This record gives sequence, C-alpha cells and structure tokens, in this order.
Amino acid sequence: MLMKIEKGTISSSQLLFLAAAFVQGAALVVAFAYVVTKHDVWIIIISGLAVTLPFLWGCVSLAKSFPGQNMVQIMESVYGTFLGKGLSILFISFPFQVISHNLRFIGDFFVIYMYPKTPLVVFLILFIAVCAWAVRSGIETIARIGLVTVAITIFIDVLTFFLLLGEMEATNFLPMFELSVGDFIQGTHIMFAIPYGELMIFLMIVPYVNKIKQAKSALLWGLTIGAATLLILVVRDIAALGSLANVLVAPSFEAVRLIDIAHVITRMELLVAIVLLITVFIKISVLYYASALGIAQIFGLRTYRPLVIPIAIFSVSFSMVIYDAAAEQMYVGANIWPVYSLLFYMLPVMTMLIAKFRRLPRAQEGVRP
Amino acid sequence: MIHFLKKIIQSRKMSKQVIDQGAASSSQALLSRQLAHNVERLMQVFGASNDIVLREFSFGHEGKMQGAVLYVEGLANKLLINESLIKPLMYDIHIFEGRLEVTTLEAVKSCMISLGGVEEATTLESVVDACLSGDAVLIIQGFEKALVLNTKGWEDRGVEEPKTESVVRGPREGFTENLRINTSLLRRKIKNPNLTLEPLKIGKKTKTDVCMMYLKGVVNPRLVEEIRRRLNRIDTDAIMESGYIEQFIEDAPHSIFPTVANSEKPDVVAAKILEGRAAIIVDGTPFVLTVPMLFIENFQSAEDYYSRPYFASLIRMLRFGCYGITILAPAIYVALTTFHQELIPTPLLFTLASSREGVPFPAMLEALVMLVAFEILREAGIRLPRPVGSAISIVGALIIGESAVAAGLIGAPMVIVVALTAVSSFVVPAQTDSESILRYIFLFLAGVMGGFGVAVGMLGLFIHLAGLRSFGAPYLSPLAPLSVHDQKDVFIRAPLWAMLTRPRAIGWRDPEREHFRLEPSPPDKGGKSSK
Amino acid sequence: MIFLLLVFFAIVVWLEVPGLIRKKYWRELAVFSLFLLSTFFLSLLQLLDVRIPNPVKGIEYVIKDILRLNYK
Repeated sequence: MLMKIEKGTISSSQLLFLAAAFVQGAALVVAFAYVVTKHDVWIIIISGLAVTLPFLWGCVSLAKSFPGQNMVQIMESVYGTFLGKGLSILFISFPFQVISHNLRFIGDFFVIYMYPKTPLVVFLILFIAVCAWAVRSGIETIARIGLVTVAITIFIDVLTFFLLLGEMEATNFLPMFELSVGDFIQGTHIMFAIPYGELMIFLMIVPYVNKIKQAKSALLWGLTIGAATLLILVVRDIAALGSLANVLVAPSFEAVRLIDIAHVITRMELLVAIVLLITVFIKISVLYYASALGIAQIFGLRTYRPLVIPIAIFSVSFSMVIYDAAAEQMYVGANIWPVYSLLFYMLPVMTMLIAKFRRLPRAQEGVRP
Repeated sequence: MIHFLKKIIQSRKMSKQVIDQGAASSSQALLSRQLAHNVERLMQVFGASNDIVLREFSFGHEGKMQGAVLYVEGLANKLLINESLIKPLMYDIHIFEGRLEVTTLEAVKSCMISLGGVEEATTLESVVDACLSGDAVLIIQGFEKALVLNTKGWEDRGVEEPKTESVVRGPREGFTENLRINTSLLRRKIKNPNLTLEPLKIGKKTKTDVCMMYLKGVVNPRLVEEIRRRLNRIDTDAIMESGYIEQFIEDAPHSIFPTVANSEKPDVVAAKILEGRAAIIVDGTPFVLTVPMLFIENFQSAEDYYSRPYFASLIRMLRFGCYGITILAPAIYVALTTFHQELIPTPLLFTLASSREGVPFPAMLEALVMLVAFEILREAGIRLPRPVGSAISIVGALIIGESAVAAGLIGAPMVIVVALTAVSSFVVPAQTDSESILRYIFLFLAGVMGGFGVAVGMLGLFIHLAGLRSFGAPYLSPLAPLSVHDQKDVFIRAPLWAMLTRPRAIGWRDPEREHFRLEPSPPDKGGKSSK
Repeated sequence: MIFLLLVFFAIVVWLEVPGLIRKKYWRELAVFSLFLLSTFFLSLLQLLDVRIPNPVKGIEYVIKDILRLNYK
C-alpha cells in the first residue's frame, strides 16, 4: 500500500535549504529563551543543536529503513492499521497546532511593530492565504523558494552583523557560564522543542527526495546551517543590546534599529521584518504541507489539495483564540510548551525502537518501493 | 451546477462528431480519367473567383494528349508556369518526336517538365489545396492522377530590420511573413544536416503552414513529441498569427507570464535552437515561437552575447534592477508615504511632505491615475500615424505632467516615480504585458496593506513563478531548481570561452558546448604559441 | 459580517467542489465537507463572539496544576 499522494520530487540540496530556512524561521522565537538564560542564549543554541543532532539522525534512519514511506505510512506499518492510525493522528496534530502558534506569532509581530491599528485577523488571513497557495502548488514549489529564502536570510544577517559591529560590546557576554543547571536544561529544552526538534516533521517530506541516501546528511547539514545563522543572530543581539535583550519581545528587531551609520543607513529594521516574513513563511508552509499530507494519508485520500483551505481556516480561528497577548506566548513557549511537545517527540523515537525490535523492514514483504 | 455538467457532456459529444466528420471527408472524391469531368468539378469547387486560371491545351504527338493547367494568379509564378510547364509540353515535346513516346504520366513527369518540385495527387481536395498554396496543377486526359508542380511565387516584404527588436551590434535581418524565407534564414545560421523541419498545416479554414524546427541530437525528443501532440490538438478555424498558436499550446493560459517565447530575429532563434529548444515558424507572421521558455530569457538579449562580458554583465544586472523598479516603484512609494513614513530618512521626509501638501488625493489614487494615464499614452503612441507621434509625446509628457503638478492635482515626486517606472518598463521589452498587470497588483496591495502587502505580494509572485513549467522545464530554472553551472548566464554574462555547457534544464542531451580552455591570450614571448 | 462569512465559504465551495466531482473523488469530497463544515461552525461561533475554549489554556492547566511539570 505504498500509495504516493505527492507526485513531486525534490533534490537533497533543496531539502537542505528547506531545513535551514525552517530553523531560521525561529529567529525571533529565540526570544523566548532570553528570559530564562539571559545573555547565555548562545550557549543553549549550541547545546540544543548537540541534543537535536542524534534525535534527527534517528528520525532519518527510521525513514531510510522504510524507503518511500512518509511517517504516517511508517506508523501504520509498525503499529498495524488501527493503532497506527491513532498514533498518526497524534503525530499529525503536532504540526497542525504549531501552524497556529507560528501564525499568531508573526501576526502579533506585525501588529505590534508596524501596524498598531490594524486588526490581527488581517495579517493572519493574508499570510495563511499565501502559505495555502504555496502548499497547493506542491512541495516542489516550496522547496524552490527555500533556497532563495536561505540566501537572503544569511545575506541580511551577515550584513546587519557587520553594520552593528560599532555598537557591539564584548562585555555584554559577561558573566559567562553562570547559568544554573536547571536554567541550562530548560534553555536547551526550549531550543530543542521549538526550532530544532520540529524538523522531525520532515519525516513527511523525506520520502519525496530523489536521492534518499543523501537525505540524512542534507537534513543534518540544514539543521546546522540554520543553527549557525541563529548563532550569528544571537551573538549580534546580545553584543549590541546587552541586558536589554532579556526584556524585549523581539530583540533582533530592536538590535537592528540601532544601526546608524552617518545618519544615512538607518531604519534597517525593515530587513529583519522581511527576513522574518520569508523564513516563517517557509516554516508555516512546510508544517502546513505536512499536516495536509498527513491528514490525507490518514483518511486514505488520493490528494491532499482539498484539505488545504479548511486547514487554513482552522489555523486562523485557532490563532485568534490561543493567546490573549504576545507576552503570554513567551511564557507558554518557555515553560509549558517544551514539556507538552515531548509527547510528540517521543513518537518517532518510540516507533524507531519498536521497529527495530520487531525487525520490521525485513519481516514484511511488499515493502519494496 | 447542472448547467455546468450539461456543458461537459455536450462538449464530449461534439468532439466525437468532429472525429466522425473527419473520417467521412477523408474518403474524398478522386480524380477521374475524364479531363472534362475533373475540370468541371474543380470549377464548381472554386466558384466564381476570377483569379483562378485554367489553361487547356493539347500537346504530344500530333496533339493527341489533352491537358489542363490550373493555378491561382497572384499566388503562382506565372513566368515559371509559362516557361517551364506549358512551353516544354507544347513546343519542346517535338524534340522527342520519334525517339520517345510520351504517352504516360511517368514520361511526362520525368522527361517533359523542367521544374524542381513535382508530386502526384489523387484526390480533389489535395488538388484544391495545392492550387491555393500557389502550386500549379496539371491534369491530363486519361490519367486519374494529377501532377502538382511547385510554382510558388508571390509578393513579399523582403528581409528588413525588425522594428520591435533593434540592436546596436548584431545582424539586422529579421524574419518575414514567408515561411520559406524564414526557414532559409535559419538554415543559413545553422548549416547542419541535423536541423530538422517538420511541416504541419493547422487551421481548418486557413490551412496555415506551420513548421517545427529543431536540432536533432541536441533537442530532447520528448519535447518534440509533446510539441507535436499539442500542435495536432489545435482544432480551430483560423490561425492568423503565431500568437494564436502560442495561446493554444502554452502551459499556463491563466498566468500572466508567457511560457512561449517569440522573436523576430533569426540569430536569436538560431541561438535558442542550438541550446536545445525547438522553434515553431508560422507562415504569415515574422514572429517565430521558441519553446521551452525560461523566465530569465526575458532578460537575455542577443546583443549581450555580441558585446564583451563585463559590460554585458552590467547591462544584464541593470535589466534586473529595472524590472524590479518598474514593478515595485509606485507600490513602494505609496507604501512608504502612506504607511511607513518612519522608514524615510528625515530630510527627505520633509521634502516629500511639503511637495504633497495640498494634493487632494491619497497617494494610491494619485499613483493609479498617473499609471493609467501612462498606459493611455503608450497605447496611443503605438497606434498613431507616424507624423503625429512626436506631437503626442510632447503633449503627454510635458503639458499634462507639468500642468497637473502646477495645478496641485498630482505631487511632483509621483510624476518622477511614474516616469521612472515608465522608462524602466522599456528596458525589459519582452515583459511589458505582465509588468503592467503586476504593477497594478502591487500598487493595490501597497495601498491596502503597505509594506506587508508588498512583501506578501512578492512571495505570492515567487510562488507562482516557482510553480510554472514550460513544456517540462521549470520556469525559474536555473535559479529555482538551482544549477550552479548555469549561473553563468543569469545575472552576469560569463565570457563566451567560459560557457562550456548548455543550460541544464533544456540542453541536457548534449551538454558540452565548447572545448575547455578557450580563453584567448597573447602568444608567449620566445615564439611559443598558446592554445 | 455573517453575510461575508457565508459568501467566503460559498466561494470556497464553488472553487473546490466542481473539481472534485469531475474527478469523482467522493471520499475526498466527504472529508473536505466534514472539515469545511466544522471550520464553518467554528468561525461562525467566533464571529458571534462566543468564547471558544482555549486549548492552550487547557494544556497549561494540565501541565502546570495537575502534573506540575512546568519549569516556572
């Protein structure tokens, strides 16, 4: 039953850039961690990466042992149809929820910083409409935009880094390594749960890569590149802002506001807004795509396209409801969400262990792609 | 809903009918042995048109054979018919007297007619078609086949410089309306036996000659097959211009971006054929189609390759910049002045604010009015008779612009922005149609949502382009499915000796274009010559 | 406003359903209708200012008060 709903294929380099863009989408979400770890955020970016790499390695190995099957199909193979479908519903509810959180985040950002008088709904609807269009066009289209996104993001990040050199002070990093163990663990956990671990939903996309052997390194490299970009960002912000970074909602934005070279190159924060827009676009589109594909797979449909618009409407409704204020999102993101999301991150780990235990790819016939 | 379902069922029935009709008419009337019978039926078909010439004569030994020549005056070359067809039959046949009995059609065909293209025809319809294409038809009493002789010769424009694509350096030949001349122009550029021509006739009533040209061995055979399939699928009355064909075979009829390129210059089309594309030449128009088309082709002009690389790269980047300006300039101006005043540097902000003082309309409306005025002027400029043309441009640009600003209806910065937009739009000529539409879309988005709207619009544009395919090649190749090697011809124009491979998406059948290490350098001192 | 909502959903139906019927995708049509109806009700309730229970608050309650697994 290896029915492929998506007929497109993407190359492994496109996968790499998609993963990198996905991680870069969390550029401002990193702000959640500032409250916890203050100016040592750069440490937890690296430690979070260290924790996630083995996790993703495991995920991709799982995908490789079931070639051509996306996560829902894998779960059905491992757990049997009934339990498999149940767990798949659990698995797919994860990207489904995360879409609303991300959508709300970017809507909030624009309302707070640029358009104070516009109702939130307008941004949510416009943004999800563009994402819906991309998802309807298929994974190939999203993958093609991934490359440009990463290129623009890295360019702007490096550019602003150099422009901010004048404002930076190395003393802002001191005192270093004064984190308590609890804070350190919490910080790493936040990093794992929000930017890095969400890459596990690429398990829905990996089967459509044309050279599956390279998918593993592509995904891991993508994660690393994304993390490196985040590191540059965080270093830039901490050095420029100092302890102010702990309090601000969007430290990257505020940091770039400080650029003022000869009174001509000022007001560069627009660049940050652009970067945020395109990276979060990729993030939401990929999550969106994964949920549409997953739901279609669970119901046994032949195409995921009719599901695109209902998911969009759901996401907008949920985004309006889930938080009363942007600050609440910061609190939940730092304290509640990491714990809650572990429930979902357990799924591929569990599946992998049970699959190995049941020696699955070999025991079943008809697993040939 | 029900009406919609009914229409689907009806269209299926109609296509069946067309197929049935086609089958019926192929069992057509054949020529009979009686000359008089044939002539009568042909005259019936042609009706009362008096440019159909019928010349009956007798020839052969003792004038025993009766024959008739049928041609259309104006389409056929009368001199050729008289000299090479009627004269040999009537006079020169006497040379053979006694030695050779010219009594069969074969004999007439092989010995008597001193013309190049001779074919046999058996059905009435093919005779009629041939006549209407400019050929002369010879019918002989007693034979049920007729001879179709290639005597095409009609008035032609002659090869001139194309008016829509002028270059500073490069050939100034342009295609004409004659299919044969166009194919010959291409043959002159590519003297290779693999250059294949595939003829077709499309259009039920116009029976326009269409020809597909490609370089066998370089072009992808599946592309050729796909083009053939799409061309054969066209079932319409008239094909007046290649644009008709373009609109029937294109990949994305609802997109504002063209997926089929066209050109009036043979060197451009030849270069495209050499990259692995196929050209479609339509009789009656100098615009030749090339498929597949990539987005970056709009920014590549033939001249780029004849000039030296650094300047050509600069101009290439300028073109991209102008494209950006022409789509986004009014939108950005409106977004900045309406929503994001904080983004404008303060001194400029004061200047802008003071110049917009007293303007009664919001920025978006101003911009809209100016853009529409520009479109009106542009369209009028194309249709005007030549003597009046310059007067209109002076009236439009100076008088209307000046007085509108002076009256305080439009702000001066807006006029500057629109003028810049207008001029930039002509730097990328191939895209004027899609640019115009995009400009308005972005203006609307900017007016409603400011910078966010423009950003979302650009994302949407990119999504749309990324999803387009032209005959199988991804539209944004080599940018979107990234191909590092092909970057040599996108934003810059790498030196010719560095362009070693054909574009990957199109010419992958025969990737190597030239030999490595062709960079020129002066010979070394000491007599050693370098490659 | 409710009228606008109705118009919007009508447009969505008009865009999607003919394609599905033409291709005879009955199962997809069923799932699509299920989703669309639920979203319709959800957005209708939101438009009528009926307070929809916030799932995040629920999660917060479970993790914070019941399991006490939260960090702060």
